Amino acid sequence: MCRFVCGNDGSINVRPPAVCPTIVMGQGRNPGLCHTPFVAQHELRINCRLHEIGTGDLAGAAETHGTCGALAQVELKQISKSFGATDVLHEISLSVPDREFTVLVGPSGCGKSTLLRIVAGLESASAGEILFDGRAVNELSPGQRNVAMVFQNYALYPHLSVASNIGFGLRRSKLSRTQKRAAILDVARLLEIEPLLSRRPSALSGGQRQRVAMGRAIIRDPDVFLFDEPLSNLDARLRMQMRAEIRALHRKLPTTTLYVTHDQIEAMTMADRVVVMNAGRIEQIGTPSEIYNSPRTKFVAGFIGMPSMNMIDARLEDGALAVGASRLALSSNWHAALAGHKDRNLVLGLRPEHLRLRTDSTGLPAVVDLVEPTGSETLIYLHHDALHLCARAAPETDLRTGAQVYLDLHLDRAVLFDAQSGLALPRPEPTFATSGELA
Amino acid sequence: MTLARTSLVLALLATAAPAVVHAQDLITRNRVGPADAENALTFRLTAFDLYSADQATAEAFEKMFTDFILANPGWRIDTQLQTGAIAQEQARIIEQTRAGRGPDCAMIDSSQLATFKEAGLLAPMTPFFSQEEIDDLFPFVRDGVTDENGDIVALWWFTDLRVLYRDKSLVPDAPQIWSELQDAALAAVEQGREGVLFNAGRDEASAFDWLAHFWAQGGELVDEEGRPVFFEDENREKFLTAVQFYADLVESGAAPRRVTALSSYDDLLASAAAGSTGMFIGGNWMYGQIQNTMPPEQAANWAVSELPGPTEDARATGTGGWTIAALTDDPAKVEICAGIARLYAGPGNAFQRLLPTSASLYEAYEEFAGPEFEVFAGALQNGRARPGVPIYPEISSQIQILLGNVLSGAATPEAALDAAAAEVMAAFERL
Amino acid sequence: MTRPARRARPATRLTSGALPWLLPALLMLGMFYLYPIAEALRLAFTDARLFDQSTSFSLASIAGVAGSATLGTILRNTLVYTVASVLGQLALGLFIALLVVRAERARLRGTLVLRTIVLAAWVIPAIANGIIWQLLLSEAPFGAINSALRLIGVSPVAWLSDPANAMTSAVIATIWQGTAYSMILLYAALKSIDPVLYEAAAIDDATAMERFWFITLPHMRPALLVNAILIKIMTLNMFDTILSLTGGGPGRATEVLSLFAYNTVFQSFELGRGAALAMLLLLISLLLTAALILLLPRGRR
Repeated sequence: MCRFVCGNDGSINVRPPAVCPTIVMGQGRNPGLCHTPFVAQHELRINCRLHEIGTGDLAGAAETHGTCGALAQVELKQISKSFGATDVLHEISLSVPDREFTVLVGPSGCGKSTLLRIVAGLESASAGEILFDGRAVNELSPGQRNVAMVFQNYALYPHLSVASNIGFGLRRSKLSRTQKRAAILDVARLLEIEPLLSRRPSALSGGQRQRVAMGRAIIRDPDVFLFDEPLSNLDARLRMQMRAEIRALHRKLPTTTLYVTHDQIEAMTMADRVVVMNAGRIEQIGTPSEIYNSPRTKFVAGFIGMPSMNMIDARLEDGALAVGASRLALSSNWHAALAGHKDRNLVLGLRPEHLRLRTDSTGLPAVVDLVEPTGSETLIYLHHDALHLCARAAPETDLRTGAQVYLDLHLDRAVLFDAQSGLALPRPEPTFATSGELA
Repeated sequence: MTLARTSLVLALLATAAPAVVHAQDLITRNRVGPADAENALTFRLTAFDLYSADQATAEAFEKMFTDFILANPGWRIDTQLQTGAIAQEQARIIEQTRAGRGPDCAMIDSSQLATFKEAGLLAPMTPFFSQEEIDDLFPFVRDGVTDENGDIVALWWFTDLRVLYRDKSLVPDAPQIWSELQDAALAAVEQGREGVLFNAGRDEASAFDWLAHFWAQGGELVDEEGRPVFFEDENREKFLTAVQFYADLVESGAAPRRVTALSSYDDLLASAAAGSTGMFIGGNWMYGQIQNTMPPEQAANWAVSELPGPTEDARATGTGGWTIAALTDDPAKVEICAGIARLYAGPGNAFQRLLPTSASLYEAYEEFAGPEFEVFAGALQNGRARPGVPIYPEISSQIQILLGNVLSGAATPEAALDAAAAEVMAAFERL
Repeated sequence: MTRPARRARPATRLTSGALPWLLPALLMLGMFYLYPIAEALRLAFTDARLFDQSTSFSLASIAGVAGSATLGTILRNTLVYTVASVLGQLALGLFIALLVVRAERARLRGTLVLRTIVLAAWVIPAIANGIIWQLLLSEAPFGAINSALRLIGVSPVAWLSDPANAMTSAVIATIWQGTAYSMILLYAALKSIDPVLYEAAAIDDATAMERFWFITLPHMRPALLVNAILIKIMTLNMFDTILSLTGGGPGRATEVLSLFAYNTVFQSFELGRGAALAMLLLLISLLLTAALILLLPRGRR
């Protein structure tokens, strides 16, 4: 039997004693699973934005439904930050929907960590407002904000055991000693670090420390999870494993998460939404596929994707793109989109996978500079006059340096940027009819 | 003379401060005379004259030393300062001299002279003094500086004694006996002053100043063989009476309890200068300090008199002073050393108004014409030097501890005396 | 397999040849440290006097010192003085170091000035320190601290003439001077704490007390212990401050073991007994050091 109360702030309060059911929230794109596996005998606030207010009885019910609120859990309004005369953040506005996994990505020095620390309360914003659940928290200390943070070097308390590190956030709770121990054990089981509970952090490997740091964050049942480059101290294999585990954890415990990384692969693989930052400004916000396929700026296009998008200087002349001495015909549906950009300098952005090698001598001629087989695919670096390009090819592609090839450009997948502003031009609806090479 | 603590502090600060450039380049912090002189004599002196923190004193001695070094061409005096920790400094001179690293010429406390003589470290100075000069020394001084061969081995260049200072505006008449002192002190207390101050902390000065009250009754510290007897028979009574005299002063409020923290004449002088005390027991040299440091109208208030006794006839005062002796075999150096000693004994004393040790010097300088010198001369009749026995330092230590314990209420006079006697006798057995 | 063997040879030569390299250091240590200690130990077994070194070997000095009624008082004084001074220097040094580090984190100005001022106390010679405090604590009507107390309506305190207060005063003077040393050591240790730990604690809503208890103090344990060992040695050996402050008085109220040894040698000239007392001091110091080292975490000893 599980008594629950819907608070008028959209929370569900589960009253002890409770064997908590799985509460499935909402519908649509993001049906949240609002379940806390280690909830046992204490009153617990589950951060589900139930908009139906009232009381209910979950006895026997396996699940209950509600609407997943559109209310943003974290909202930043025109946050600016300067250290002395240096402006680090310029009027950042960002809305992080409830229970979403949002990744802030950008090159080092772009202000992403500072932004995270402002959300945490470790730094104060020079201007702007931070709202949690609609309430301004600017004046609240980090502890009062009910956030949990995982640091790059984990910041475990070196003189406390793993169990004490995890349980640190419970030290002021009213739980009994046994209840605390049970909660710590629950978390340890979740993270599979149960055998390590009595060790000191210095006796743990990097990955184990990482888990302990997450355990310390999880046990506090925070409103917001903050990760500051948590995987950068791990080796490549472990990093990949932890990426998956953090994602899985978020599926089990869907909590609003802000995750900072400089690694675009982490951003692409982990995020519900990616926020690309550069020089203290947000370049683009979107799902990984939006960011990848429809970069809003040249910067995003170049930053996301490995190898980078090919950037080709071009001009629009008579309905065709002039690239160097060559002219590339554009399908008619581009024409409408490009009206008004005639005779302007443009940049043609094409992902390596949108360059196809042809053996017949049609298309853009190019000379092979370097062949990089990676096993699953082969990267071909080539040049056409002064233009250097990269193409993704099938793994068995057998080419020599210096070989003459011809390139087929999938212009329907291309992104065109205004050379001056760096902004992408609006794309036409894909017609899948411009290239003879389509499968 | 005892360690002048404030002057030590000033000296420490002075070494840190940029050196004051004097008119005479001949005198630096560690040398008198040209740096390239062919002959050099090392002279270990105290910080009260040439390097005095008092500028007038330092300047006067700089002039004397300049004249002296100009009269002795080819010589340079390398000066070495000794600190106010007398016992340690004197021990260091003995150790260094034994090791061949000692100074050629040094100031030696008269109370330590016996130790130096016994150690056989002092060079005869007889050839450099005329018979007239030697005959002119006060008898107790001449005895002190003569070794077993009849040679003069040091010049006792000044002596000192303990006297009672009083503020005449509060205490018009000099107290002659102990009870008068207490009454006068209580009267001063009623005027909002501290009645009478004296050293009773952990310092030789405390023991020596107090011993006057023991000696005034005819008490003896040691017998003719040098065995301590102060705790026996009638000496015990006299000892306890003298302790009780101090205890009564403190108990009655005539003296403040803080006397157990006083172990420096400078502390007494400071209180006099601040006008916060009515009377104090101090050294004769403080008269000159009062004249030099206080404004004339304030200085004029301070008068000096012989220490009161249990009765008007029973008086005593401790006498000390410093000597200058040569610790080198080189006769040329001994002669320079004797010359320096003469410098201190004559013009040096005249400037500092210290008490010369030969009668003719009082005639030679008009500085000794003042009425205070009549008082000092009179009191010197009842002067007592420290007994020249090896157990004296231990007796002094135990008296210091005893005074502290009794006056702070930690022990009764009898118990304190028994404890002191036990310690002294144990130390005596070990000699 | 010949290669490793050939390689091992130079290493062997270096090991067997270590002595010549160490010899100069050993000689210097022997001459300037071991010899004086051995000499003091030898003197402790004699009845030597400062000016009369025609001595004979005996246990009289050691037996005399051990059986002396005074020694009990002296040891009690030493215990009170050392424990109070060491704890005081540790606590105050830690407090100031925390203050400086916090001020630095808050990017306040003047921390360098503060550190310099505190250090200034340390460079003052101990003798001068005693004199400074004697002037400050003077019970004369014009005494600095008592005058200040009178201004705020507190009756004057017998800082130096009352036996119990005199010990307190000696401890205050010692703490005032030694705090700088302790502060510098602890400051360095504080600076080595990863500031991210405090951020993690801030996120965990830890109070200042909890941050101190769970992060600062455990991290500082080795530094505090090493500091305690060093301060303890310095305090046990300290006699100059007391010498110029109270001379050990009133009576023997502030006479600690080092001062007692000093007085025995330089006032009573009893070199043998002084050496025996110095050996006792050394022994106490070694035992206390050993005890403190046992408290150090493994691997830091």
